[in-house]
Amino acid sequence: MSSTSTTPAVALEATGLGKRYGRKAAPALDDCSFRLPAGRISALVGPNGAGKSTLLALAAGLLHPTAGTLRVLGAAPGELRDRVAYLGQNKPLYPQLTIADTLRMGAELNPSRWDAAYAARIVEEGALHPGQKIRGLSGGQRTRVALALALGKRPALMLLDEPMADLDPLARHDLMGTLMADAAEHGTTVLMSSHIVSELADVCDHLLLLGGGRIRLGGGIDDLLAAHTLVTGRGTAADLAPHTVVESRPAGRGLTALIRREGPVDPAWQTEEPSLEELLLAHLRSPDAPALLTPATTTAPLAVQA
Amino acid sequence: MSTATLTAPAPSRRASLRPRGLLWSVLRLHRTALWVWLAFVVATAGLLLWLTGPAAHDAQHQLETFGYAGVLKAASSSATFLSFTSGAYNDLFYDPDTLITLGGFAVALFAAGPLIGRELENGTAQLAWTQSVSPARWLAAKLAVPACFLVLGNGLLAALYRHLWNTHSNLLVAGIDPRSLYFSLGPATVVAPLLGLALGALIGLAVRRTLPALALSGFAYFLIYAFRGNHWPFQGRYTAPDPTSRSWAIDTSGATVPDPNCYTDRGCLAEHHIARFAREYLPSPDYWPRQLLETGVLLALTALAATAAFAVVRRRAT
Repeated sequence: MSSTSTTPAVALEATGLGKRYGRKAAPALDDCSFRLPAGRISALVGPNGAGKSTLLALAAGLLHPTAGTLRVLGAAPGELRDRVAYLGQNKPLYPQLTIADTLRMGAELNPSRWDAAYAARIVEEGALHPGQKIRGLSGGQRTRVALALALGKRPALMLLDEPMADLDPLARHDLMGTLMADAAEHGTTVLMSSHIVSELADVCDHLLLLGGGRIRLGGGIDDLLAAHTLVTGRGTAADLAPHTVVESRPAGRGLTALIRREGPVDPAWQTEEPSLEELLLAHLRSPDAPALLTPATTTAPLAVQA
Repeated sequence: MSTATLTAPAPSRRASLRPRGLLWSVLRLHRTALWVWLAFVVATAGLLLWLTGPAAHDAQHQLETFGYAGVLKAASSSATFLSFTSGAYNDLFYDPDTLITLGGFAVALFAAGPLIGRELENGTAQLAWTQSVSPARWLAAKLAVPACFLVLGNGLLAALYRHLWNTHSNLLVAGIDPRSLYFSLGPATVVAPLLGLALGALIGLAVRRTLPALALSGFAYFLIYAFRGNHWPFQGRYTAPDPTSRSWAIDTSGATVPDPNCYTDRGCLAEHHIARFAREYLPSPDYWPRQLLETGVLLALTALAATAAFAVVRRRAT
């Protein structure tokens, strides 16, 4: 890797990335720049249509960007297909194949890295019979098979698009556990889009919030939480200067606001650290808030903002 | 990079003839289509062999006894209205051609639908592309494996059909039909379905929806079918049908004599001392030039369509 020695290895690096579907449509991604350090489990969140699926498909080498560049594990997207796993939003699988044949296909198409025992174990944990046809499986069972196919190739980077959307809570918990154990054991980088915020807080240590085609918030979750404060008190949003007010709303006679601190907060305000859900909701509700990327997540040599 | 690279345990299966990798996956995914194709080839080959052998006896006997009049008599013996199911040898002779043409249509539809279009519509193509297989390699396997089966199957059928033509074309009623069959049989019979395969794949990739791809591909193959044989603009003026019977008689002394025009009157034949009749219908010196020109043009179009298909897949994904 050609980056400086202090920077950790980078799994994903976007520079001015843009993708537009057709000339008249608004761009799905627009001048999007960020860096995802290797080994992180990153949540990709954003409102519907924010470009989450587009970003994941670009990284998987399924689409060409219309602008900018994207480096995946230091190479162009699609160059290291054997080391990148991708799970599409609708979990496509061949309906006419049995589970055993689906896994066999994984072995045949990933000859250098396939771990048959591991893939088989993931399927067996779901009480699925290898002879069953994919056609006859429920949505959640299909997700399990699709995940077994993705994990069986022992990827260095996993791109998961809404992986858990159609799983029951128990299966979701089990599969998340499998996924996270694998990631922790092998240092796999995971980038996963999801709407289930409570879940993300448990499993992810990194966050990329997409909005308007760009990263609005990016970095380690702890760092991001620490950079923000939830304040309550009497006063107006203007009184909170020089802090950046992400969102404020009236509460009783005063207001509650999520701020990005610039120095110490006036003790007249009651402060607490926001939860991840509060942080995300505040940013989703105020699309005009300035972007914040922690140093490890920016592509520029200098951090733009602290 | 600090990422640990895991080396998968080396596969212990060493059955050398077993299909591996993409070949296995294409064969497994399109297993049903493969069996249907094999059944089609076997059935059509069986029909061709039957026409070469036992089915021709009666018409052959009529020709030898009455000359061209016997051919006409045998041809009009059909009891049914539909020529496809008629029992007359002159009608049955064209049935394999109809089957091979239908096979070509089926190939074009298969390529546009199940082979390519449906995979793009369902997202299963993307599933394959996110294994360790690039879209270009995926497409190459998707085209090469069916192409091999097509060449083998249609090659066998075209060879059997040529053999049937050489043996029994003298049992056909003269006119426009034998001529167009004659000029369409040969290497071009094998290449035309390949063009259907490449065009179907191209349309499937470009349209990415099963139903519109099926419709467009069917139309595209209809155009090929309409020009097949002897109707391409590059083949120049369409040659007129050959209505002459090209038959002759052999008398009891073994000398070749002209047809005495007795029709099916045995008394008249005896009077002229006719032992038997023979006929050689439609040898044509321009068969190979026309056939090879058509084959070349079809091959060039196939290459063009395949190149375009690869360009589409490269433009869409890396």
